[in-house]
Amino acid sequence: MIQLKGLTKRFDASHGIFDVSFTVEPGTVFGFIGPNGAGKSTTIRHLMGLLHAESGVATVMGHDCWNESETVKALVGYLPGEINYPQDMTGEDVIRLTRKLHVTSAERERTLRDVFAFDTSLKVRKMSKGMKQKLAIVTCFMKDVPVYILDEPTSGLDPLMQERFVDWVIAEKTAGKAVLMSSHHFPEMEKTCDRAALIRDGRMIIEAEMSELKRHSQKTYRIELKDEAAAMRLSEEIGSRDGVVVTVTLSTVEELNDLIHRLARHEVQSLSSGTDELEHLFIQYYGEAK
Amino acid sequence: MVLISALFKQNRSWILGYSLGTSLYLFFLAAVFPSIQETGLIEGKLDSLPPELLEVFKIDPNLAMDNVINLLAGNYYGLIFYVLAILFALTFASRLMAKPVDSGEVMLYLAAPISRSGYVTSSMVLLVIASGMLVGLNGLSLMLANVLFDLQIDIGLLWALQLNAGLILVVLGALAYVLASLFDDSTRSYMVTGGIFALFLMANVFSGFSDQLDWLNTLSIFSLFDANAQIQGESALRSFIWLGGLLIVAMLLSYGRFTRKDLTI
Repeated sequence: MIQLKGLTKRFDASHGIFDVSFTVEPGTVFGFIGPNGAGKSTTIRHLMGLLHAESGVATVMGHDCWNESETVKALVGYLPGEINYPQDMTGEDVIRLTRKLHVTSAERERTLRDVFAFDTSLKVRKMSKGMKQKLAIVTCFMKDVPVYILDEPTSGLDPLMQERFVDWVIAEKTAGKAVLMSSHHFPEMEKTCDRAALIRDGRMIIEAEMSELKRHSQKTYRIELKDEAAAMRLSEEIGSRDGVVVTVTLSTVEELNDLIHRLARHEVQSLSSGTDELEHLFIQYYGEAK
Repeated sequence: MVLISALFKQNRSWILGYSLGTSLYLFFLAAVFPSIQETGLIEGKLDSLPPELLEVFKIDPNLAMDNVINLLAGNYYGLIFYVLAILFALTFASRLMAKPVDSGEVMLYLAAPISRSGYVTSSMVLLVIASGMLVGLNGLSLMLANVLFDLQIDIGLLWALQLNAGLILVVLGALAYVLASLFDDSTRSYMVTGGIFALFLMANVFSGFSDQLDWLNTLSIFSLFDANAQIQGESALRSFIWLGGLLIVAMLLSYGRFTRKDLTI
């Protein structure tokens, strides 16, 4: 469905994207993860025919994204990272125009308006970030197309709307759509993505199944024990101590089971996990570069 | 067609502003013309002005002010129209190219199955509509004044002037559009385009200061709209051909530039 092969675009010696390759299959969600300025939006702009690659190809359902951009755009629902609708238009104006410019489904529009409800009579200039994001989500998914490209789709949404968005994306995936999603919101990526790639300084540093990525990620646990003596005993076996709290970082299931066995010998007051697995992986890889 | 109507809807306020504003100005000037003609105020005023100033404002001292078109040739179709045309072209290029690309608003259209050349074509159609509305309403307001106040306007001459004025607007707009497409920053494109058009205007104005500076006028696009010459019966065909040629060049450059441009929106 979406295929990138050796995509390269050099803005200067160190900026751009270099040899980016991945494939997004039908019925899957592909997560595109990276810090700000890593090249996520640049890659997505190639898919939307906004940038011309120096080398490599980007195709959607076999159509070249630069030479056949009209065909590609008819097959793609796009949610941009920066929502910049004309300020004087109302939400209703934008939806009406979307209906005219794209082939949309009235039924999908009705459902989307219910799920992501907001005041469409407001002018864009008066809308909050969250409202603009909901408007962008509605106009993107009004198109019943085989491919969706979503750049930071939940930015500005409240937790309830984020949850609804996740449900919507999962439903699209189940319906056989191919979804490419770039995001910094790791919980939604973990819930929706089947595969993910991490990009840094314009270069892909890892691409794998989500389960594989999770397996490779480290996870931090914060264990609070009853007294300092117990904490000291545990920290001598595993982890590091700060008062009655012991922090343990694990990478494998075996290590996790080993920790559980050890903890059974102690009186644990509380146990909490740190960052999400994907977020930890992100920090792990990005931290290496710092 | 959908894109053209969407672009028109989004831009109609400034288009109507220019069209109605200038048309009202022309109508009221035409309405008061008979009374100021009776008082002989115009001839008196013109006699008191130095010839260089008349030249700057493109007022021909030999032209009898016995018709409102003769008055407008110096009053409206000279420096006022040139400045108006510059502002019109800058507004067009800013609203259709510089600002939408800079802010990312153009993505509303480019995310749809619309090619970039389709966007340029729609912009150019809108430019023709906007220019047509401006000069068309200007002409109609003068025709209405002609009926109401019996001004004896030469309708053929009136519409020849409007056609020439319309072509100037379209060509300036297309040139501003090309220049706007060269930059990603709307402020910079506004300044560069404004600067180039200001040079055209200065060349036109300075050419009136002395006979030795006459050549400057040939550097200015505004030399292709000389209302006084048309009133005195000179053919505007050469101007039309030049303007047509410039329009084709500007349009080809617009297509060439915008369809190849990397857009970081």
